[in-house]
Amino acid sequence: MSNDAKTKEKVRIAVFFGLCILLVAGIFVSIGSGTVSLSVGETWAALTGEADADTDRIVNLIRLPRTIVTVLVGANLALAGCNLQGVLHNPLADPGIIGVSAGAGLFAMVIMLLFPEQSAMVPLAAFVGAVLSTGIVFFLAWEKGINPLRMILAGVAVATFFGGGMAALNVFYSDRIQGTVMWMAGGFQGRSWGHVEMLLPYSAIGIIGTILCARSLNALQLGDELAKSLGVRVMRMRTILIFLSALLAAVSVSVAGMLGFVGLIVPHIMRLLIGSDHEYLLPCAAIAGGAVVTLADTAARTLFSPLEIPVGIFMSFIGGPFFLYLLKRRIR
Amino acid sequence: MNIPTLHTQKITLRYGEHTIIRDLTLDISQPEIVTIIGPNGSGKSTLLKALCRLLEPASGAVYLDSKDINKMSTEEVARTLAVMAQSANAPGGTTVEELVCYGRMPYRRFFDGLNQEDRLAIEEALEFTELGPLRTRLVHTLSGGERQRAWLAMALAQKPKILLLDEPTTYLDVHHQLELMELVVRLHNEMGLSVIMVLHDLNHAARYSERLIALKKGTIMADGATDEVFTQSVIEELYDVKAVIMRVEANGTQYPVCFPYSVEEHD
Repeated sequence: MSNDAKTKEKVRIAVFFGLCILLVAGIFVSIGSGTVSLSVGETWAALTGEADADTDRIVNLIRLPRTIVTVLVGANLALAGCNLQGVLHNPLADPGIIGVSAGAGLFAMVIMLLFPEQSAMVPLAAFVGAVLSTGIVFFLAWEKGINPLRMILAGVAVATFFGGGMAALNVFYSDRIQGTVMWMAGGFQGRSWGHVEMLLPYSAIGIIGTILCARSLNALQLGDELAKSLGVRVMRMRTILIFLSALLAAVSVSVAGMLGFVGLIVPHIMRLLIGSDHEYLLPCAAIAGGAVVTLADTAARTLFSPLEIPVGIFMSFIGGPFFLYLLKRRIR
Repeated sequence: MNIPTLHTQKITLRYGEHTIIRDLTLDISQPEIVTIIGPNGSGKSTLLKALCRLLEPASGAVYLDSKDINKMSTEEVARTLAVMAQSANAPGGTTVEELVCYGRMPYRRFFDGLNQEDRLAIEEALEFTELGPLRTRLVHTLSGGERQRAWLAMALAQKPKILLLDEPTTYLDVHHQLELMELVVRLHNEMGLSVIMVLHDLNHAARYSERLIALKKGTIMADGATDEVFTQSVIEELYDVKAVIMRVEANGTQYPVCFPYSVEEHD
């Protein structure tokens, strides 16, 4: 009976290293797979600049940026979801709940439907939309700091409002809707170094900031009063953590579209595997998110090649049942 | 060791428009066991919340070592004053030792590991609460009594000089109630802690406290040594009951006991 702690420690270490291996493997598989298959050796040669010109172009111009985008987006969304579930004390929280996705979606749709010639502006417009809708939710939920319950209610209301906008656009421009469907389902087709540049700074701030706050997030799990008794500035901490999540989610949704699943399910899978100590949970969720999205994207673009299935759909089909299986096993 | 002081200067406590406590002044300036008693709704828990800066007074101020507690940094307060959680939930999968580690939060920065001092404080807290053998157990597998001791250990790891407890014995059986109260007394005697608590059980309050504060309708009705406050007249007026105070002798020691026997009509 007194082995609880030892087993837990072993599981944590095993899961952490397992995830790291999975991520590295995922990156190589992702870069190696495609119309032209590359071995690990060839991929490595290309990454270190020792491959022939064609391989070099395929890897460094096309596949590498896409892989980096998938890793970052996966890590960002999983981290944002994990963080929000903890801060808002709500297991259903995901980046969508704070209004990020709806805002990004509406603004992206406006560009895609009304100004299709400006389609390069989609990520930027989506980012502006995400920031705007999150800003409205923050404003509505503010009460000397963020009030978690009001945050969720305001998030749902704002999401509904922006969702209405999207539905209206769908109806009025039903002839042009084809082009937006892929974006809405979420995907990484044609993601390039420009997208990496857009992701990188926000991801760095969000990931480092969130992981630094892990201990305070743990204390917040004990409830506001106890956290304050332990010397945590509850309101300030909560606001910082939600802000960081919003940043991570906004930039990810802008680049990759409406990727569901990762932000909600990956943190829960990690929680079932290693428990809810955020000092371990946050890094594991980030690595798992990166690995899962990268592998899913690879599968989605190669399984039925040349047809590419939107990765969001792919993940929901594989991940949903897997999560239910874990949940069922844990309950028993 | 300097003696911690906690005093309130004419504090008024409100929830929204609802005033719970009006112009209350209170002084705790020596290590002692103080128990706040009073009927439901008299403001006991509210007062305790104000004493540990969880509720900011609408007017007046609470001073910890002569500094306004709501203007101090919350970490600084947490190093002097700890609160024992009442029926709080530990996150799933937390072990006893991890829970006690939380008590070191006010001393740690970002990524610091546990230093020698932290470890010492954690060991001391575990030893004092006799949780050493249970340190690797998950908190949610503990019995009610063990769990309360785990939350107490967490508060002790803060190395406080003042400890606040809000009805710590509520969910415990007689055995574990006594065990916890004895533990609190030992804390006071051996570590010189000031203990401020709210208790519903008058006999516990009388037996374990050095000082009683009787609170009625948000004002102090009586405040003084236990012998002075734990009297028939005070208890009868405080709770609107008829009661007798007796002395029961057991094993060579006399214990004060209150037996309320009927409800008194309001005037």
